[in-house]
Amino acid sequence: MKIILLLILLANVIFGDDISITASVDKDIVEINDEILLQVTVSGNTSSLPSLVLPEISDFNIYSRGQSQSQNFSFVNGRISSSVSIIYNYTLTPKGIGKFVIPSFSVEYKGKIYKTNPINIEVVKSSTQQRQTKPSRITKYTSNEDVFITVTLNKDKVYVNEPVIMSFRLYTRIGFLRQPQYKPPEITGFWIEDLPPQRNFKEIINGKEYMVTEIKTALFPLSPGEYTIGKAYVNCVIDDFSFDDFRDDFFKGIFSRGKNITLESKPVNINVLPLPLPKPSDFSGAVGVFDIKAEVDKKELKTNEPVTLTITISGSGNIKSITEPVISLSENEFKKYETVSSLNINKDNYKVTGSKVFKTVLVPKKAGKLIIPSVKYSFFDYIEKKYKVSSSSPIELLVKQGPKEETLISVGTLSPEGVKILGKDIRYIKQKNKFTFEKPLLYKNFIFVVINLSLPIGLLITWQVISYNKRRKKDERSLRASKAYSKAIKKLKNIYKLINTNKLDESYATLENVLTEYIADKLGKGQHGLTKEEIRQSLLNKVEESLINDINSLIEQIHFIRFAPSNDTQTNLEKLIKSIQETISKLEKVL
Amino acid sequence: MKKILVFLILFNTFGFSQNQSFIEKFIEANKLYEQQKYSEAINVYKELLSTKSMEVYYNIGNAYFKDKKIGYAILYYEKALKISPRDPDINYNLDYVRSFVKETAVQDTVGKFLNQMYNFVTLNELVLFTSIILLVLTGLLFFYLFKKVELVYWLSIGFGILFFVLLIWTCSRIYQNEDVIYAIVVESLAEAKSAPQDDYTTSFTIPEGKKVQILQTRDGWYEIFLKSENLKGWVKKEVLEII
Repeated sequence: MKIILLLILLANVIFGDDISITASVDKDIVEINDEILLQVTVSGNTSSLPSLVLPEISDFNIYSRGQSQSQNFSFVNGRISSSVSIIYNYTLTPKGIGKFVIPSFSVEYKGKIYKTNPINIEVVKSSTQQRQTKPSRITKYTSNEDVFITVTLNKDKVYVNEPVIMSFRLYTRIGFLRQPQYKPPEITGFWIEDLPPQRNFKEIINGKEYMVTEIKTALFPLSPGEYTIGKAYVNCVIDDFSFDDFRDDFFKGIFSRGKNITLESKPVNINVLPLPLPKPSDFSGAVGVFDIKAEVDKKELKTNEPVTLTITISGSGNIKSITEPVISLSENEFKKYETVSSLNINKDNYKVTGSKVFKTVLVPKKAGKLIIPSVKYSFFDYIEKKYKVSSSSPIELLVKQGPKEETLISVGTLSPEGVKILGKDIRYIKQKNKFTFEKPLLYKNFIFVVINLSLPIGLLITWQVISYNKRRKKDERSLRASKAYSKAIKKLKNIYKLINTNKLDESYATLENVLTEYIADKLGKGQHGLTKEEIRQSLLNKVEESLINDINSLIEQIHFIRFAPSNDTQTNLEKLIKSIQETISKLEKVL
Repeated sequence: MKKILVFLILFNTFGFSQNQSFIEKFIEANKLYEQQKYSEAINVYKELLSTKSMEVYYNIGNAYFKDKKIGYAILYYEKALKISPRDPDINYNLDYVRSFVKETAVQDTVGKFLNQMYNFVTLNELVLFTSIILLVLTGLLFFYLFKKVELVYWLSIGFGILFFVLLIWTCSRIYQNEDVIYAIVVESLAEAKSAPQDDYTTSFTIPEGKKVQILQTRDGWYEIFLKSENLKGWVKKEVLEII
């Protein structure tokens, strides 16, 4: 967890300005005649990387093998950040056997010094070289007439950063048995730039014709002072006899096994002068002859549309040390993005010339005529020994008001007007004096639970009550129906008694009721007012048609007997009762 | 019905009983936070913890995050979230702070969404809602007892299903609230052992800020369960803080 936080903090630092510098070697144990590749990588998210400061390396000969530049774009939280890294390649050759230290390389950026770690190198004896070169056979041919070397500088007094051309020449009149091995002189305090290709030509010295091999190197002194260019060495194997002896001793040549010799040059002194004072305040530090040019890819555009400003500084001098010129743009008029630089070095005619191109994406914020002011670049001209300023011509842009939303899409990743998340953070604390407190749990509240339980319980009770009432009504009816027959028979028996005791009037009334009451009980209907038609209706689907007709005729007969009495009423009544009894028992079977 | 209303009103007004010193303390702590004196702000906020307020929990969470204590920050955000599960600020900050917790298990979006839905309402809100649905359902059934109307019949079935689902949800939430204890790892290096003893082997390590379920307690040790990784282990009590 802490590591992550640390990473975040680190990341924040990187989003600011950060320079990192590392150095690495291909091996740390090396043989005396072998060479070490040293890579120094300077990277950072600024387009103008500071130049590397070389330390004093006394134990090794150091040669620049050029540099390569790479650029990375990354999008972090919607923000573009570019990082540039320059890899400086050097070849180191050891001067002696033992343990040595390659000191720190450093860069200075915004007042801070970034350093590499020193690297320990162990130099061991070479097993192979000892076999090749037998020490007893080495002869120094320093000023041999047939083969010699020279190291010369084209000037002996220079300003800091002024190029000096060092020429190494190998003069020979004889052939070599093997390709000679060249060890360049020790050079410290200079920026070294090889000037290929090597040149071969013939030169006549003192009447003798020599084959000359010339290797040129450009040196840029890094700081003022007296310097000595050390001795250069050439190791070569020549025929072990001189050219003149050839005729005298022919056979010597045939059996000659070659002679290993080491040639040595004289050291050369050079005086490096500091740049004259006073220096202009805007001095860029570049020494040479430079010219600045500014261009845009389009002059008519719309607001929020990107335009690329290309500034080219070209000339001769130490091109690599050219720093980004200051472009003074109004914050209200332009949005400026990171500058991307590219290097173009030309070494034609043994002169370091070239150009450095700075590309900056600008996005105009306002409509109208906007002016990119003249960009000035101040440098020291070592030929005229004066500080000079080269300035580009100002550029006028015609900016039209463009739609905001559309350009967001067309600009794409640059989207200057959209929501840009620059740094994600938590939301701010709550400061309103209005609080949401934790509330007691509802389900633990007794009243609440009781209310909730009472609802379904109440429902259940009501339902039970209603259904109980319904059931009870139904029960009453079935009881009545089951008792109907015995009740009717009982009544009929009573009527017999009434007839026997001659209470005929009463018996009529009861007789009429017996049948209707029976039917009403059976069907669960009210006992009174059951008419003939109603009986017919309610029985219609339950009993046969004939039985209904019988019932109806019986009722009519009762009515007839009651309202038209005759002498033989008693016997008629008894007949009637009998048929009623039969009908009821018939009904009892069906209903 | 009236009783319920009165009861609810009582319930809500509970939150507005604040006293003056509480507010003063709160403002004091906020000022300390603004001055970036985070640990001091935490101390003042903590004096307000007796009345459990979402705002206090949230601000403590913020202060702990600024003080680079991810575990405690998550702990207090979780506490705040329990009171206000839909507060956008808490959710945003919790999500952001959680992004610093190294998760080994792949977060499945469906599971996360379901979990969010499950905890979308507070337990009280859920209980109340279920209770209202019960009320409506009972009303409908009462009506149906006396008048058999087809519309009421279908409505009752609909509300019945709704009530059933809500009841399961509510019961599950109540169970979670009562029996499932969650805790947050607050130490930067938490090791889970295979048994509640120091000399047992370490089964796994848990990142600070991770939410774990506590299964049981035994003298100074918690048995924890990591659902997404399906791991069980014993950790020391001081490593965890219960939400």
